[in-house]
Amino acid sequence: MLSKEQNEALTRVGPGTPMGELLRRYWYPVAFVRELDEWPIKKVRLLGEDFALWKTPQGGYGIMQERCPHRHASMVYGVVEEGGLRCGYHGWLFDCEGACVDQPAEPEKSTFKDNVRAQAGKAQELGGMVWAYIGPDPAPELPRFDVYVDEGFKDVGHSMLPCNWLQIMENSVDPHHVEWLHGRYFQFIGEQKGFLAPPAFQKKHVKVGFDPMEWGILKRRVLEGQTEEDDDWAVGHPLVFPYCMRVGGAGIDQMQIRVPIDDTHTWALFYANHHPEGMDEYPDQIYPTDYEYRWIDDQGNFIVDYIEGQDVMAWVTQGDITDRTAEHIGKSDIGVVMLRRMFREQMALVAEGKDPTVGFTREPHERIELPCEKNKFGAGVDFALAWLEMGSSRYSPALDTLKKLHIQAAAARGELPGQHNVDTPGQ
Amino acid sequence: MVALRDYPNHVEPPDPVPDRRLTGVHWWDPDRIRHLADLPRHCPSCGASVTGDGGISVEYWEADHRVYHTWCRACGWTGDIIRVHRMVGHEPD
Repeated sequence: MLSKEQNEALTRVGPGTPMGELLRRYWYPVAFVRELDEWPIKKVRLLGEDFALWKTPQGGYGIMQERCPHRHASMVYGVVEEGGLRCGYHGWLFDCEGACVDQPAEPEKSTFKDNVRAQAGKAQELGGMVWAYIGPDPAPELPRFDVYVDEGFKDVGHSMLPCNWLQIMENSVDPHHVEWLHGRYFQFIGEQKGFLAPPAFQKKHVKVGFDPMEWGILKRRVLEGQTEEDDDWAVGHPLVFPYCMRVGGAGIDQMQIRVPIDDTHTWALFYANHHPEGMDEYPDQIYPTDYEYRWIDDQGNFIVDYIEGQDVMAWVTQGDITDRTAEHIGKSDIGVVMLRRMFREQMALVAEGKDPTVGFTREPHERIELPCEKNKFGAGVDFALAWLEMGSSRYSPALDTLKKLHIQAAAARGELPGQHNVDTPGQ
Repeated sequence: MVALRDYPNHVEPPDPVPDRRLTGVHWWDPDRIRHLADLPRHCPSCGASVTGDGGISVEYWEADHRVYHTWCRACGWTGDIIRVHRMVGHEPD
């Protein structure tokens, strides 16, 4: 349970709020490269503010406030030029730094433009997505996590969810939900609908652990039948502060990304890189495959017969911003308690004018490797196939390609589908 | 969300919805108020306020005990505060 003021402080993301100020120290994916190649300007909402994102003729990216400082027409309907983005209404031109560099209707010798500046952020490409930074200068480095830079076949499911981002992040430090939401509940849904839910999720948690680390919180678990020597405890996987979680296994690396759009909406992406052992060449891709996964059916009911659909049900039914003054949390929720404290500590650092110390770097780098279990349930290709069929990848237009990739890789390793006792992806 | 046909990447983000959970009167309010009344307000080490931006105190249950996990921004003290209603001892193993 939290006080109302603490709940507000932890969930409000707009400019000038304590959490909003902390979150503005990080980069966020705001578009797919593919989208800007199809149309060079996109409206973006991030942390409660609206922006125009554009691709420059030189191949870079710019992001500025959506409203033109002149008379507030939308820059989303502007003109992309070499010098920046020009407002479609009266032709004011803004460069990538937000400087107004042309006001064609003003007298030729006017210096008016020198007194006008738009709010501008920074934008760059990584892993087939365009990332934006809208905080104060100097911007930190965009962390180049392994999932985004490693070779492989990239597949990204995404959807806009009507709830606050923090309740999704709290799910990432709540290992026990797996044995119930994806275990018992999945089993119940399977019994009603006539399919076999993956038994691995029904295993009881014997022990859970949480260790603070440079990039967030490393989550560990021992399940029934396991020991501390197993990858689930010995390696674990991290919540990547402040808005991601890294999971994977059997040649699939995934980053679960929760972009705070505003107080009550989160853009939730499942960014997966498929690189099964046994393959060193992958099907050609110009861009990562991107698609919307469905979480609500035509009747308005949650779609709960797959893993991520179950998570979405739990996140969204908690409410727009869940009321933590009325919750009852227990010993099994200590990961959630720890995450709240970590947010409060980092908010305090930013309020004092310092950089955050978690999930943040100013060191130039090529690649950041995150710890993540590789041997998940020892299920090999069956784990990968179950991941594809029981997860959001089932909505991927590349589903058949992905299955073929994992089966070919298994054959190259001398492994056959069905050889293992199939279990499924961990969370 | 509204997608405009002529602009393939132009999706209008939905408006933020009014916050329905943190306002109004609820049947569970007496319980909520009782718990909030016990929230620690000061650091047990340095006495600074741990409310507002002074820190955080999160209540969780451990059997019959309500535990307040508390962090003080002023001195960095971190620990659990447990309200005790009855002293109960037990034999050592």
